[in-house]
Amino acid sequence: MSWEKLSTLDRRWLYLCLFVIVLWQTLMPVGVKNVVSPMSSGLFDYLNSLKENDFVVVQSDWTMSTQGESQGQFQALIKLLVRKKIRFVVTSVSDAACPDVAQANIEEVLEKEPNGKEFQENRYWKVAGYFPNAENHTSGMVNNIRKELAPKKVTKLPVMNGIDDLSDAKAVIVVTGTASIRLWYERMNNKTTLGLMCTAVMSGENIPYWLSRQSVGIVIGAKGAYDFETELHDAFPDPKYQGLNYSTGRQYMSPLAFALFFLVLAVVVGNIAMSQARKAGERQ
Amino acid sequence: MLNYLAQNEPPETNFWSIERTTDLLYLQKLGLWILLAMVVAGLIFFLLARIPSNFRRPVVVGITFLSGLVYVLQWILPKSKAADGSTVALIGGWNFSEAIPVVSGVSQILSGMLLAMGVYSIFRLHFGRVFKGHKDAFFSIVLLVSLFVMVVFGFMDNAAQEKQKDDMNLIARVKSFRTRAVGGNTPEFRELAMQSAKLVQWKRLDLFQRDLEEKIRKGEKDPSVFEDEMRAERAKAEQAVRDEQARIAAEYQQNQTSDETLATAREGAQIMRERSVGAQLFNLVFFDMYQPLETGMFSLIAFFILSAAFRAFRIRSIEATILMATALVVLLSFIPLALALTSGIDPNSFAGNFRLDSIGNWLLGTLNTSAIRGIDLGLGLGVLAMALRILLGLERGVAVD
Repeated sequence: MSWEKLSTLDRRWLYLCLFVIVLWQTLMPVGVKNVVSPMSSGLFDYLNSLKENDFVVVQSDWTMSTQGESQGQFQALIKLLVRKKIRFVVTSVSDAACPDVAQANIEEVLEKEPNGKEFQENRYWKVAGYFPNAENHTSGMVNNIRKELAPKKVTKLPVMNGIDDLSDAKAVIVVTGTASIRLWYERMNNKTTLGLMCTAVMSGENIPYWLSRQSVGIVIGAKGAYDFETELHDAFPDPKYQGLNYSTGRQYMSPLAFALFFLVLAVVVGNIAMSQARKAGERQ
Repeated sequence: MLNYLAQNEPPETNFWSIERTTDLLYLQKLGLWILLAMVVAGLIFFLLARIPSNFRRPVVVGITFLSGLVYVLQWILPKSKAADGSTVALIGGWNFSEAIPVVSGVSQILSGMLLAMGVYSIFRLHFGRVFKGHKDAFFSIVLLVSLFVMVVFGFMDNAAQEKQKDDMNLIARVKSFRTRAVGGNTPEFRELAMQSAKLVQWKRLDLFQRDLEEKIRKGEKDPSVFEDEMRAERAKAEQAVRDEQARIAAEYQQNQTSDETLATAREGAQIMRERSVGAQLFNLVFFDMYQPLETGMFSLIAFFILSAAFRAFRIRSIEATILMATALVVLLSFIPLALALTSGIDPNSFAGNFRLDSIGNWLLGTLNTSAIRGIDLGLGLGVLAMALRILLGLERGVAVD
């Protein structure tokens, strides 16, 4: 094959290679020891330091479009909250489908967790639902959390006992595939601690807020989910959690890693082919 | 509607809201007020549409300025703590913070109206295509049917959820009072508990069957035992239902409620919701159809990214080379397999600075952060200037020009 041909390779060959690599690594994944990022451990350590019956707000702004990254993060977060018996209310602002996705994922986690049955809906957790105006919702949560959540009939439930102001919550954790966290940076007013679980493409614009300590930690993409699962594994070595600490974070890591390696390889090969073809053209 | 209003948590009495009760007369009055507000709103819209064109601009600019001013004041007014611990922003003894939820509410209503206009627009376009026999009419039919199915099933599921919430409220009330004299163990609760006793046992029987089938599939049990074991378990479940229902009836007679009955009712309410037609239909269209389609559609992005990177990510200048090298290092720093190559180096030593994760974190935390901060600062100033222009009616195209 000439360099010219390689540099203009039919994209269907690339698609086929990617498909085969992902399939191969899904069926036969390669496992390596994880190096946890300080951004992920910041959020995990903070949440792990909370006491039983503390309360946090989880803003779940993801659907199946970012499932590969967000699902692993969300499920790992819920596992930690369930094990520590931390109460939480889930809100959503970016898509009307988010609350149903969150509900299904919480139920999936509770089904497998050893103390999932004790962790009853309404007592320990509740999905409040979708709030159509993100700006108003965030302001409402900061100004008067009870008034903001009252139309969703959440405030009378035991999960909200003793929560009269956002400052009574120990944290707001935003799990998102969008930029919905920005409103919290703007409106939080130092009332409580902010944590973020976002997709990899959202990480760049959010890292400055972690460095300025406006958020306690950022869990980034599928690697972040794997980091959180690794932390869960280290913090809960009890045999009853055997096989429960790791899920999609680790499962997706190997196919993702090989797909990214292939991407890097494709870029390098593309550049070599281009330069060689150019040299050959100059010679002629 | 009135029932819904009665269940909402009453806000504190303030400038914007009068004292609330669950009294029927009060709710009827409130209903009347809502009706009146809708008539007045309709009238305002009608009048706005009739305003002569030379008055439209001052009206639009005035409303925009006043609406924006509320949020500006929210930021700049000094806040203080009231005796009850809430945050207040006082203007001459009047708490301005109370106005924010009202303005937010108005804004949400307007968002709802915009949504309704969007739906109307979709109907107009696609029904038009269907009736005119457009060449893509088939896709319009698919869109309209999907829209109707999702809305109808969504409402049905919502009704099932509301029913579960009502049942949970009933259980919570019974738990707090326990005796009928003060609103505890009521006939409705007895009915719920009786039904729940049956449902809980049948669910356990279902789980037993699934477990048994799994064991037979794995070869842990002989298939011939299936019928006998199921018969025995069914008899056990029927007996358990009879025992539990007898206990519930006895408790009702004695005007008591045990913790077991409360737990059964709670589990039963959950099962009722799961097995409702609305929930099952919604699960079918949302979880079994919509979600896999959405996942499939987004998974295609990986192929396009690969193709685009192969064709477009070419080194043609020094800047492009630096950009590509940086991108590749950051990309690799998110892959544990690549991180493992340098994870053996002590992070606290000088060589630790050259670990892949250290380089990646440095690129993101130092270079990227400074660039993002610069962009954010410029963007912030630009947004501020634009907001001021809009608030003061200086921006062309925002008001009626």
